[in-house]
Amino acid sequence: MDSKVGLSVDQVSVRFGGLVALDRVSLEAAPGEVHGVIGPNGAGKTTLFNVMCGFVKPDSGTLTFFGQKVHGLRPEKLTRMGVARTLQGLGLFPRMPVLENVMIGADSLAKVGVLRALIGAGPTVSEEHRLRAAAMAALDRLGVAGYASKLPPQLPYAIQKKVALARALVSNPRFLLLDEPASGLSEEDMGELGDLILELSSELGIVLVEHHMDLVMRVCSNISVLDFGRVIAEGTPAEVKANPLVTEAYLGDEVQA
Amino acid sequence: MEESMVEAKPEPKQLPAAQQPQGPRRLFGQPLVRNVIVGVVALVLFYLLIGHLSQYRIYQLSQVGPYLIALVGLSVLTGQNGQISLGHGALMAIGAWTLTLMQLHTKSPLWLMLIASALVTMVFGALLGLVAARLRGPYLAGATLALALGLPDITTRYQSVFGGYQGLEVSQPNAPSFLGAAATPTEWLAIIEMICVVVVMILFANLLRSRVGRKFRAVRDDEIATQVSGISVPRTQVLAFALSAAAAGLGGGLFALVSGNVSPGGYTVVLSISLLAAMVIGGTGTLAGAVWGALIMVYVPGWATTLSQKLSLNQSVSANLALAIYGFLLVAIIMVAPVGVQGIVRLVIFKIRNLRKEPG
Ligand SMILES: Nc1ncnc2c1ncn2[C@@H]1O[C@H](COP(=O)(O)OP(=O)(O)OP(=O)(O)O)[C@@H](O)[C@H]1O
Ligand SMILES: [Mg+2]
Repeated sequence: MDSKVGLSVDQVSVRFGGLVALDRVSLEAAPGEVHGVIGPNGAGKTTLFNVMCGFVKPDSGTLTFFGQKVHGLRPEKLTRMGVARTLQGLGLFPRMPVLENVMIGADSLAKVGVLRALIGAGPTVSEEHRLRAAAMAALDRLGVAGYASKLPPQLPYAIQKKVALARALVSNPRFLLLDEPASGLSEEDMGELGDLILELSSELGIVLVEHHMDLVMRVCSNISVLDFGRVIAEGTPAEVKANPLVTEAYLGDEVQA
Repeated sequence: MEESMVEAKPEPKQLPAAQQPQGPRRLFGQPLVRNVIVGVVALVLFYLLIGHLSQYRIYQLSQVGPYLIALVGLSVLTGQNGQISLGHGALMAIGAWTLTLMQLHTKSPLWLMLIASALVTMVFGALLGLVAARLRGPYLAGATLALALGLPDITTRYQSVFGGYQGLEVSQPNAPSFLGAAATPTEWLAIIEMICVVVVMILFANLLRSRVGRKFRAVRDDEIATQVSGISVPRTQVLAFALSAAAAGLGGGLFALVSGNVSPGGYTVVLSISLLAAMVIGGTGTLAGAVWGALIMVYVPGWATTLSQKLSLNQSVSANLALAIYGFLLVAIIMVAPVGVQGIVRLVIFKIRNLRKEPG
């Protein structure tokens, strides 16, 4: 793999007090691929994402994005680097219309400063038009443009999930980190999500954290299995499925395969 | 849905061009143009109105402006950005003393003194914002309360500068010669205030519909999602505090002019709390709500006095009647109309529109 174009996590460890949330975890995600991260509840999947976007500073280990070592990563820098993330749950802004929710996702593409915003003429207006158009296009792509003026809590869960995805996509990322995008979706919606992920993967790299094994097995080209903060298995879906360590890790845990 | 998916291609990392309305619609589509037209009309109407009022009524009306401007700042901070402040009375004091000290020690023109009131207070607001960005909820309320409690003490400690308990006198500006004898100082001050109100309302209206206002709201709604979207939460919070403080400072400067003096007794924690109550009663987070809130702050105490005289209430009751009315309004509003008076106004307008639609 050409390391200049991917995200790589090398020997990353995170401790919360006495709890080892991540233990020397390494992972490589390449563009054009869907890299799955699976594991039982509390395995450290979200923590791994939190490290990859700067919410959590690793105690040791390095991140390399697009061939460059990343130090002191801050989450607000992420979109500018071309990495977008959705949150486990929804993370929508409940008192802002859907359109504004998505426009926030495009904000890193905007330039107008405070003084111009106060004056409110010229570039402020044209940029606002462009942000709006970009947000509408992202909503339209996911088939939810019709809900642009609604507040998120008024909408069915599956629609809200799509809005959250639109907010991540609107910044035109090179990489997309999806934290349980299928949770709470119906079989049908999940199928649609699988189609979308496969289609997106031709344009950008995706790291997918998911509990729904059929979805993971369908869309992922590579899978890392976490258990108690450690990578216990890695490989293609078929390899991972056949690995006895994986079945063991999931014993007692509901296996949705 | 499927079709649009297939067509979509990765776009470059910049915004695509968007269609914009052309011709006169384009001009009026500019929020600035629309707001300025509304503002100028409001100014003209105000000018015509004060021609029909007695000097006392004009004086009373000119007390509304300072509160209104400070409330705009507070309401944007709290309602749009989700930060609470019990320190806006103290921020008004900073603006008031800035103007007073400039008047005393320099020969600055009025406009410069007013801008300085806003800017000096904005600097203090930014500092307060830096503290605020690390605090949430009750801790933030506590920190801003400390400012409200502490600031009056500073003015009495450094008597030679700030005038101690007595405070300092402020002279009212005379109307410029081109207005000649047409405007008394009282009328002139009312006009200045109205100009300030219009300018502040236009600036904040622009701000709220811009990406900056949107960032304020995003931080209010979900800080983690805001960060993931590439926006710095502390920066946004400091900015909101600074701009909010600028408004409070300008309000304070005008308040000094209207009052004719500044003294610590005028800027106690009671002022901060009254502002907060007026904000909630008027409608938190809306500019129109600030108008209702300011009107209530000025006229309710007056009505309360008249009422207690009519009912010939005893001294101790009448002194607290205004506060009691405040308290009652506050509780009533919170219970029946969470978006305050402005929420009720919106509801009424909405109902009337629907009524009109139904028969047709
Ligand atoms: N900020 C934190 N402070 C302390 N402990 C934490 C923190 N974040 C996560 N943990 C702990 O770290 C472990 C890993 O949590 P994490 O959220 O990464 O799991 P996960 O694999 O995403 O689980 P799930 O499938 O339930 O989402 C858990 O035991 C969790 O309680
Ligand atoms: Mg998780």
